[in-house]
Amino acid sequence: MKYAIRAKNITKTFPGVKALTDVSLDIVSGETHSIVGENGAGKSTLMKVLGGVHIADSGELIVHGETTRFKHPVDSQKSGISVIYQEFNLMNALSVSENIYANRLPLRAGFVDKKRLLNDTRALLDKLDLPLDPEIEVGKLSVAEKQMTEIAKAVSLDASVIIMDEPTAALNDAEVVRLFDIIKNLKEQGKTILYISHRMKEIFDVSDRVSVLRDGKLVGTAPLSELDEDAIVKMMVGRDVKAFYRKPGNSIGENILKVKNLSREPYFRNISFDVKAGEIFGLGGLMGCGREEICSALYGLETVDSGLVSIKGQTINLKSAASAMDAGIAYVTEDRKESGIFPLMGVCDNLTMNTLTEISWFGGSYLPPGEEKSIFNTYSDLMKIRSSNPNQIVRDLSGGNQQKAVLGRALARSCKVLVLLEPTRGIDVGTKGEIYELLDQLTNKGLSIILVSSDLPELISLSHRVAVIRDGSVAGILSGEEIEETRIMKIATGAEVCA
Amino acid sequence: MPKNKRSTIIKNLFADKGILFALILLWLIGIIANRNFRNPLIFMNIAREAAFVGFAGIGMTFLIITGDFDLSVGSLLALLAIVTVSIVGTVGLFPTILIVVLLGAIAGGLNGTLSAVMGIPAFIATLAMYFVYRALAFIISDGNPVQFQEKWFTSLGNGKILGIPTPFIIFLALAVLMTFVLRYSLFGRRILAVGNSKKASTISGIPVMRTKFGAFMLVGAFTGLAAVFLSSRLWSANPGMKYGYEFEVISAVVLGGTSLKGGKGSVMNTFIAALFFATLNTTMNIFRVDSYMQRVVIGIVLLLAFSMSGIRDRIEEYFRVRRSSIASAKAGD
Amino acid sequence: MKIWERYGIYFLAVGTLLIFAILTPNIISQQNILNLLSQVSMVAIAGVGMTFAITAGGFDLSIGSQMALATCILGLNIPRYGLIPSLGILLIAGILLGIFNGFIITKLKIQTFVATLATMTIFRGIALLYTQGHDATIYSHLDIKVFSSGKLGIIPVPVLIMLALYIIATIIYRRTRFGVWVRGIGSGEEAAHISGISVSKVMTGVFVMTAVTTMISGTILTSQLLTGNGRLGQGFELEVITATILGGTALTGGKGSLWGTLVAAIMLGIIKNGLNLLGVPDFYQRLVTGLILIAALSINTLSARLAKRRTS
Repeated sequence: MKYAIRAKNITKTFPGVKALTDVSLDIVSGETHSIVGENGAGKSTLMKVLGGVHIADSGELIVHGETTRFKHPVDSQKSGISVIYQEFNLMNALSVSENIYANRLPLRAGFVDKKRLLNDTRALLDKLDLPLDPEIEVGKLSVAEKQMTEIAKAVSLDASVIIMDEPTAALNDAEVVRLFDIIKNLKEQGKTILYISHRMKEIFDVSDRVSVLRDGKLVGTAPLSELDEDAIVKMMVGRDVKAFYRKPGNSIGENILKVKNLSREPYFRNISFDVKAGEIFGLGGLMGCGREEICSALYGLETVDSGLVSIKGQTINLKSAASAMDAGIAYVTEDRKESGIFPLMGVCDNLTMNTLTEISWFGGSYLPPGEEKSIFNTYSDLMKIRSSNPNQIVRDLSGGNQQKAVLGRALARSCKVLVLLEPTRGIDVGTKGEIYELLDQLTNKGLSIILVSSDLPELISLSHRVAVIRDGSVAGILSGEEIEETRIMKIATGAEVCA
Repeated sequence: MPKNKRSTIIKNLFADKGILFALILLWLIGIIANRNFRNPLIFMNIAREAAFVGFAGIGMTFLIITGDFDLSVGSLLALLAIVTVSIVGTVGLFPTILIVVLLGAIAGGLNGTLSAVMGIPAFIATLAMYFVYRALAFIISDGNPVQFQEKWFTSLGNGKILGIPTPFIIFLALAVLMTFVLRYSLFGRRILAVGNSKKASTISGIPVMRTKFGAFMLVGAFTGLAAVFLSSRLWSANPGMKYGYEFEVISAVVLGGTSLKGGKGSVMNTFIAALFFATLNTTMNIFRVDSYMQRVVIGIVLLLAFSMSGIRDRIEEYFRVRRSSIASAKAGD
Repeated sequence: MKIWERYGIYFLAVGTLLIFAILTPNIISQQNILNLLSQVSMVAIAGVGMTFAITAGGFDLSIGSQMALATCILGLNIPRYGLIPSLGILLIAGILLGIFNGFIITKLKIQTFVATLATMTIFRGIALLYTQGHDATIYSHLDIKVFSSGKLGIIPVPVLIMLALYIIATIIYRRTRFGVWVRGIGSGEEAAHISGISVSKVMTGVFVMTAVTTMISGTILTSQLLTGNGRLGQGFELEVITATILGGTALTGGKGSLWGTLVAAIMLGIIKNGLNLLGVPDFYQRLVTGLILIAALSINTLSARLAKRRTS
């Protein structure tokens, strides 16, 4: 049996997070091996270790039979490994060909041989059946085209192992089909492919074998033929799926939020729905359908062209986040690292940030530390935030505690509606459970939640009702038993059209 | 008080206080190495000189925490000093201070408009204003130094209160006040928030643009204050004065440990760093270091300060990783 | 909008020339135009280096001080050793200055304009130390004058040097690996690093370029003044940076416009020259340059915002 990569006992720790613990994995030459796991399971870290971006704390890597140590991405490339990251590593002002051959530009008498560069690039693109113009500036390409550039780059480096990190995250359906064709082409050329994803359908379309990571540990590896969806999800989640997600059971009250004909071209138009007290109202749909934009608009982060929003019958002014908070709407962002936490400030400061105007004396001249402390106590207990002291900077907390801090901050200001985006992205399973429990408590007390989640099972089990958004319009609203994956997908893709 | 809590408080008090140790070290070296240094007058002098850089340093600390900085303060200082000297005879002390500080705030507001409102990167907007303000200083003074006749005005910059130089007392008082403002006022909290994450600040309802604008105005106002004290001390103002002032001010803030990337900082550390620079200058004068060499030395010190900021971050990171791996090893999984 | 961004500077330059042609007709005289181009050459030549620097995503604020140092080196060495050896020393000095800047930025990881803010002070200090603050007059070996008053036919030598440099620079920018790498680093430093491009070597190379081109400008200045002094060149970096940005080189990096820098330098020269002819004193000219920079930046930023709004 020829192995492309053998990883033995790989461990990698970051401040506050144990990303990989004792992971041992074998990749057979020529296979397409999927690595699956929840967000935060360690897939990204493993990939970066294989790609030479992170250096493992301990463990061994054997690539094509040779024990190696990667100190720099170039080392990994030399061993025949090429990684295509989600965020792409491209230089926007350079052309496709210049990006591919950046450090291997063909020369003629000291100058760049443009003719040979273009010919080499065209030959490469043709071999891979990629419809790209080698002279176009990469900055002008679409996401799918950038990905193609990265793939071409990988192949040009004579990579024998190509690692793809969530390759379909930003692609539309047609582009996904084309990507799978490209992968088939690569397979025929004998390349080994590592496919990182958490989308079940793709895994079943593409893989020979599947490995599941959970909480930084390898749960198991098996050929696709021996697995079914339930088995994989069970390995990902670690407990019986049905018991893990909560079934919405609490009683639901009156209409609290009314959205009427909300429009903001070109993102969404004529969005109308009602949300009741104690209800979790999910927004489903494909990537780019407009869900996030609707949520931003509800919180006053973007101006709308027309339409109105009212809470308990009173129309609210949505010109800014501050006015949305005054009206009783809270918001949790989908990317806590970029727009959620205040990384260098303490847990206490993070939690109280939304309530400062309420607790300050003398028109903002004095923030009483006693009141801040009591907000901290209340919410760090409620959220079960684990930190060494109130002033520990949030950057040093684990992903789960960081998310709790962001959520706590939103809740600290009394609200009737919580707009919640990707509540459990990148969080370990234990914390996920705690957050689900918390959402239960909150809805029991009458809080309404608008939920956006790219984790379909999560969306389905948490929501009382789901509005499916397609191309910026409400394509259908499902409730109770109607909420299930195939139905949502059909409406989201237009395969089914509701009246 | 449980032992852990006590040591945490002490640890917090001395955290990031490397500049304090550096200052004390420099003083000790000076005292041991040179007899002239043991005269208390020297320390009075250091205290006084530190204030002139320090005033603007207080404002600059706030601005750097938000992630921007202002390269025009030296030119603004010259301009406002000329204004001070020109009007002090006619309007009296307090109106002068009021007017000059106000003008400084307006100039800061101009910088803030270019940067925070219009979106021009701060360093280049203030670089342009560096030349504009300096040119204005030359224009309104016709290229010549301006002196004032009113002797009473000199007591502001040269006088003492209870034996301690007046500028230093005001400087210390303002430093303490602004430390309080940074930590316990809404404005200060917003400054920290904006420096941490603009997006998160917007989501929390913080007016990012207004906060940054306010920081620029603060820098301008404090520069005005520095201009009043400095022109009083020098008995005059000339349009070519204090070339390189912005450089000294930013150095003081960075040397004090505030990172140029923003998000955290300490006014008291800037205070100590201002003392450090004043000590450095005085020491070089005592040791009769060539004035041109002094420039080189200050430039090198600044480079060290900037690179230390990067090294410091890396050292902190190293200790954090060690602590957390030890902690998780202890937790025994 | 695209046309304006790329070619706007050419329109502006012609427009300015027309305005001043009306105000001061003698600006169009052959003598004056040649004079103008000579004056412009200093800013334009240093502009070559600065264009590369900004394209690579960096800034060099220390060129004013470097220029002063250049005049001091020539001023002190020409009377002693003659022109050619002194030029040799100058070249070596320029390379060392560039390497120093590059080292600080790449190895000590300090942001470029903050680092060059510091080296600005250090270099000027060195220049003043070198001459002890005095003038370094060139009283013998006056063949240096060829750099300012020499001519090939009717074309002044500085103009020739300027044009030659621009042609060489354009070739480097468009046809060499170095040019590709500079644009690459400016538009994706992380990506460049992962692609195996040696970021430190390219950045250092760029700063050596700014230093060497500044040394050439310094030679022309020394040739004009026949003196070296550590206080010269203050405000030079402003003019050069203004010309570069006005000429269309994007602040965000990756897109450099060499000929734009040249035209912008000429336009700034026209304004300066015109103001001189109108009798406007020196200080006002700095004011005008500063205001022009702000205007250029404002237009840049506002048009970028408009473009963003349109595509989103």
